[in-house]
Amino acid sequence: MLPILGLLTGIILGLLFRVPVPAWMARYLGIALLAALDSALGGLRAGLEQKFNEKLFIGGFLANTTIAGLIVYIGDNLGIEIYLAAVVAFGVRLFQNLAIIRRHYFQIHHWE
Amino acid sequence: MGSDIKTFRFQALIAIALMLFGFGLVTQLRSREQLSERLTAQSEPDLVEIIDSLDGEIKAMRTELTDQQIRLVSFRDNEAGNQAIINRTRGETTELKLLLGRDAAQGRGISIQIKDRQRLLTGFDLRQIIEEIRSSGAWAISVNGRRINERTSLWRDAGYVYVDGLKMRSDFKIEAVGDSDLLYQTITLPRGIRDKLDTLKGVSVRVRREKSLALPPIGVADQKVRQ
Repeated sequence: MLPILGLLTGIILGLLFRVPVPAWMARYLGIALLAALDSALGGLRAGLEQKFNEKLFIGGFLANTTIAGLIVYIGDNLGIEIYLAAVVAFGVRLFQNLAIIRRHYFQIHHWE
Repeated sequence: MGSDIKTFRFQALIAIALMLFGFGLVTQLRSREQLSERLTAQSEPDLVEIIDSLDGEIKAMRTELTDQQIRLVSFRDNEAGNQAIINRTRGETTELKLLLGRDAAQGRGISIQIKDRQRLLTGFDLRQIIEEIRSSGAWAISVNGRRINERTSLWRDAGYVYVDGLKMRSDFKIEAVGDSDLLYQTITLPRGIRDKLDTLKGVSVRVRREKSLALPPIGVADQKVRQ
């Protein structure tokens, strides 16, 4: 319940506070959001599997978002769209985590 | 109890992460929406102006690119030009050194053997021969093995010819590097310098084309003459 509340709070705060984002930063923010969502879902999955580690989660969250931003920056400077590699990697993991979480909830509620 | 706290902490951390994600997501969506709204709100002339402005920027960037390319080509040309100047200067320096007698000279040319049994020849006579062959393109000249240049002094004293203060024998051997045919013709021209010298009593002049002459630089010749 708490994670959903957190998500809703974030959305409300975003709606309340209009933070201007420069156009050049849009791609950085986009990839960072993907990395953040991947970390959050990874943490959720680890928690459901009783393997959650706070330090690993926080470290992973910060590292993923930072490295994702760096990849975009390096790609921009090299003229290669390396960020696509990050998008694919995060995207694949995100769907895997979602599938596992879904299966877990199905098992808990005996919907299978 | 411990398990509850652990679960709470886990959920709280996930909640914070999702809150940040939610906040970022809304911000990102709004900024994109704002950009879209801003463009939609623009009137047609404004959009035309924006497109014009973007076109102008593209043109300016293309012009800048062309300028930079021109500069690059110019730099390359200058580099080639500079190299050509350096090469030319080196060539001129070498030529000048040969003319001044600083460097040894080798090549085709002529040799002039003058026998002066009565010791009638003067420095002026030798000077005339030298000037004749120099004006015919000789770029290295020596008298009795001594390299000479435009500063060489020639004079006569007590029946002897002196070259830069060194007493010469009554037999002279003048060697000149250059176009051997042209130099030969210059000396042997009818009523030329050879005919003029031949009229002097006891003076004989023999001119030969030489396939290979080697004239030492001034300093070396000085030492040889002195020895």
